[in-house]
Amino acid sequence: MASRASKKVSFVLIALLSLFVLFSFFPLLIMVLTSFKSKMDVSLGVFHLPKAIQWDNYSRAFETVVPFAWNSILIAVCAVAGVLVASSLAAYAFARYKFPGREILYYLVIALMMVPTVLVLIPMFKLVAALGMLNSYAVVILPQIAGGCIIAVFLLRSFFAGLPEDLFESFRIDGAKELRILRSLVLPLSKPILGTIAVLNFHSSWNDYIWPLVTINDKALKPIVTGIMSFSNDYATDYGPMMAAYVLASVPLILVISFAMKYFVDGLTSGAVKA
Amino acid sequence: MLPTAETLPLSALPEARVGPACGKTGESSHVHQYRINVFRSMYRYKHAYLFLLPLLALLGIFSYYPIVMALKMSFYQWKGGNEAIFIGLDNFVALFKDQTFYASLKNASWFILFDCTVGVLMPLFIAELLFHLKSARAQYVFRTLFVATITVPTVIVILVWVFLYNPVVGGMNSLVSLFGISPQLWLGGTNTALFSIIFSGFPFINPIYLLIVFAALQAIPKSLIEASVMEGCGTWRRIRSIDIPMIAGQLKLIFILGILHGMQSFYKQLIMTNGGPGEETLVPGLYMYQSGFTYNDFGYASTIGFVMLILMLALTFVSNKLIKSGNE
Repeated sequence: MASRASKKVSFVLIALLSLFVLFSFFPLLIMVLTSFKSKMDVSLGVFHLPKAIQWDNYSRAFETVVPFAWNSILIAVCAVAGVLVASSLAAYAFARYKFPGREILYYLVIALMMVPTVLVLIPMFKLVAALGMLNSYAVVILPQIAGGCIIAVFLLRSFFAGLPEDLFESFRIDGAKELRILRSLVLPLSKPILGTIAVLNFHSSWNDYIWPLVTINDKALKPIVTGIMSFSNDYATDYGPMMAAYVLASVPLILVISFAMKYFVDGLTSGAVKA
Repeated sequence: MLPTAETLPLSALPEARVGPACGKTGESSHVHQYRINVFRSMYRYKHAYLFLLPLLALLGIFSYYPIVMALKMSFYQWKGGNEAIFIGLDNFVALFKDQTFYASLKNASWFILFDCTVGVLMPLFIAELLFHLKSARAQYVFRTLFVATITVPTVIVILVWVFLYNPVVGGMNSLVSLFGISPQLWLGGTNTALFSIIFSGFPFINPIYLLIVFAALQAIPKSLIEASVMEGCGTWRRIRSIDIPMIAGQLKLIFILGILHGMQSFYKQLIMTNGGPGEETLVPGLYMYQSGFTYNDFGYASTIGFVMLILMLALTFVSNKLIKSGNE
């Protein structure tokens, strides 16, 4: 009797959860569905199935989306690389060396987590304009690295500090220089957490919308989430190809995150986030 | 073991003999020695400073400098161009009299309210559902599915909702007609715009919040739960007396994150309605953005940012205090 009751409970749970998963994916399903529709299908209503799959939508969208996508990929890869390098070096210094000013500098860095982006949006714009950096890849990449490093340093420092001292001793005996230790010992051990950081930063770089919007006017350089807005206007009411473009714009991000999903979820559920 | 810099006494280091020349007379030798030690320390740890250089350079340029400038610019009148006139508190005075700003604050409070109530309760609800699943495999599958929602760029999701809210071809009007509601303008309607933006967050299950709460639930000692079951504790009672107190810290975290997010985010408002119709969906963040980039009044925009920062700090501080006392 107990098992019958618990089976019923399980069934209800799974039904409820499936319902909510459906709710969560509902806009995306509509997006994919609409991307296959012709103009006439669209006017029939959102829930109507298309008469025939319009692959044409995708070929039209493809040409427009691809250049933007390359920009996003380039920017994201550079940003991730920059964050990994700068934050590993800095976190290593914070974790293993007791140098003067260590605590103060660390808290100064962490304190930046409190600062809302809205505040710095305008002065940062004025700054990069004065530096002549507008309309370049660097103007988007560098601030992304700066922003991403803050959390990365926070995560990496506690990880590095937890590594056992003995490992370092054996390397030092062999006369290894500091950079060598970092490269051959610490980094291979940190792969999971570096993976999490890479995924998080790729995701936030891909999603970066407002900053590229205000700093890049040159259409050729726009990343995809920004470019797709001007693109929407070109297509006006042609929703089929527009949705196809949206789908294409999502694909790289989906691929990257699915690849690294394991790292990401494990990183967040390992209890690293405490009260 | 080879002697390294860490294991030798300070005086044995070569630096001791070639220390910086402290030419100041009248200094006690104690202070003198301290100064040499600090310099010596810094030299010994030159690696550390070198490693920190990229990070600090980046942060200095793109974080610290803009923050200082942001606060400074709010005291100036700066309307594009290169001329900034110092006007002291004039911007602040204007802001206090600005009806648009108050309207934006009122709108923001709706978003904040939603983000920190429904935005916290839904992840909690789903996490509890997941938690009660018997099969670990089912847990894994559903957890992954919910997290998968972040793989689609936020802007894309927003744009799809704009499509859905289209009164002619979008799905919303057909959907609500099932409930007998007449077709609406949604994002274009004065009464419906704000609600439409809020509702686009449906089903309000933020994957990251979900993961945080779920991990917290899993961290509850099994013994507590077993004890409650043995005493014949009902599920609802158990949730109230055990789960919630045990994960209160994480719930508080999400609550505060919700407030911060509700206060400053303006992506949706910018893309979906640009504050319209009229001022129905204007929020402070958007108002600041428009002041700066649409109206070119950078001084005033900085003032808005400054005040927003203060408000956010205050809100965070207050909610921190309130929730803490609720747990005592």
